[in-house]
Amino acid sequence: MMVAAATTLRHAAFLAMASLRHSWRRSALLVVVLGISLGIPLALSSLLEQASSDMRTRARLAPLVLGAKGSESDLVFGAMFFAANPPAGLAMHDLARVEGERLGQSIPIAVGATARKAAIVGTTLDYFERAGLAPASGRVFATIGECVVGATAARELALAEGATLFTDPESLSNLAGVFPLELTVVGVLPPTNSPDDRAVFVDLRTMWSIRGLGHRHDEPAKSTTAGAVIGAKDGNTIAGEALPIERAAAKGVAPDFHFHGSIDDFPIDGALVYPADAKAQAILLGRFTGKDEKLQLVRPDLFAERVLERIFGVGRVLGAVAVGAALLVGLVAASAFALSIRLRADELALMRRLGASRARVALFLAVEAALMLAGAALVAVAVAASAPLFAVSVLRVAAGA
Amino acid sequence: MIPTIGAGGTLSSMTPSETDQTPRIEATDLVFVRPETGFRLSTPAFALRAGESLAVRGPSGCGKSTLLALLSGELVATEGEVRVLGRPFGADEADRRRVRGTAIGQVFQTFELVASLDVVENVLLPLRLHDHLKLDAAARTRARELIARVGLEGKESRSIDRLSHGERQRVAIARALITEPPVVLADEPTGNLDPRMKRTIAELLVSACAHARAALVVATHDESILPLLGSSLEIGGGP
Repeated sequence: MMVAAATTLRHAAFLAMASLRHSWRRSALLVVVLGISLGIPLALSSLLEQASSDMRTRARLAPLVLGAKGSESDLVFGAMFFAANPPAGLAMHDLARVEGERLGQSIPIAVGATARKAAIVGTTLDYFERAGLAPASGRVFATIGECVVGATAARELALAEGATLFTDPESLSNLAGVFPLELTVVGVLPPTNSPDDRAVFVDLRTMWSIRGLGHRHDEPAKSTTAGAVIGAKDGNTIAGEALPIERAAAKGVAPDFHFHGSIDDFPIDGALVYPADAKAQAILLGRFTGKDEKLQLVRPDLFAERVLERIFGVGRVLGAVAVGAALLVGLVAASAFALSIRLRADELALMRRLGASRARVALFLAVEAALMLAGAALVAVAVAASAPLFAVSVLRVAAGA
Repeated sequence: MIPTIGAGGTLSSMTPSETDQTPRIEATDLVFVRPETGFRLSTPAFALRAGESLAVRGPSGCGKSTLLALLSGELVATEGEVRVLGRPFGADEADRRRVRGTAIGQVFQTFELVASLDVVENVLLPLRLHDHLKLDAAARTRARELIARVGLEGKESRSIDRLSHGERQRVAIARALITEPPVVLADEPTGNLDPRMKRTIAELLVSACAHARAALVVATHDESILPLLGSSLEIGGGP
């Protein structure tokens, strides 16, 4: 009995496959259209789920985020997701307003540079401690020019401990601008399913060097480059523009990097703030709410809920539209299939004349429909599976970043 | 061993000497009436043994195709009965369908091939429609032999779309014989062919059936092929 059923199904599958192959263009079109239309509601649902999970998880990284006044979205997405440029205007000395009176700890974040398109994040070692991150291989950065790479970035850029990579130039058209700094990978982080996976972490001083605030060069007086020295005054050598600026992070040269100006005034893009307790948090929130206040302190958890509310509101509408569209396409696909059956009426009648039962003919058609639905399901799964890749983009759009 | 229809419509076997004595197909005085149209078909009794052939003649609409449908069990006679290898068709539709699928090969005027299948798969199609027929290596060998017999050797994998009308009818003849049926019914098998091809295909049909020791009934109004068929039955049914 089982063998006969299996044989019948095998024959049905053979005839169905032959029919699908014979009209493969029509079959493929139906499968793709049906798959995409089924996949969109799934993708939307998957996307919203991923976006909400990403957002809420990331929002738990720090209770507060400090930044310059301006777009709240840019601040949160820049300082926590490394996916935007926060408003400018925050400097290192601003952190004292958080850390003074022991109200809390702040971890500076500087973003905006990339290395082979991966976001570079300048921070301190406290970041890893707060995020519960320890390199899966190697160690954390110790000096200028060293970096720790997120798991995804390491995989996609084929980076391992000991590898080097150059930062991307600020502007390809500005040849006179800050030019690339060579970074040495000293550690690779484990996967965390967070923005950390795609980031390249460096010390703040490295980030400032990338921005051109710090550099190293030969002793002008010893330089053999023509034009390296343009004069002397009061016993000091005056270096000329031709003095070569070294950008390589070769071993042992880190101490030669130096910064002009006070590091307290150096810019950062945001800071993750960890209040000492609830009372300290309340005080800090009140501290940055003045009318003339040039900084803002944001609660990422509340920001996340606002963004998600907006996303889910839009998502509900889009979901309803997508389900409606899927139903419509399903109806069209069913009609197209029914039409194809009518066009093959002679073929089906032949099977009946050759002695096939109605049930047998119906089975052939059912198997054909099932094969097409299976193909459509694969396309739908592929569409749905790709949706989470766009979660951060959707969050940013929804937040207006 | 020649397949025949056993009790309940299943296949059993007889020795050639037994089956040669038994008519492959026989019809008692058949009457078929369609009350709604007033159509009435009445035919005399006849019987065909292995290798014998019969031409059913008559003007269009006289009931030639209806007679073939009665002989294949597709229609049930109002009076009289049809026996295949001595057994009458049962009243059960499933039983008649089983007999039609296994004991009767059919050739149609419009070839009736499946466009999505190649030549050999069209020939094997009946074996995919019935649980009690086996599509095994022996069946495939038989299909290739039949294809060679109808002159299509080397075209086994060819698409039906790439065959001429004559070639398509050859495929249909091979398909009609794949179950080694005791009876082959052909409805205007040369109706869609050019005059030169008509005789070739008719000769092929007769010789292939004779080789397979099948009784052949051909409904035709093509006088040119009558000399190829052993006997003739003129019918004049109609409304």
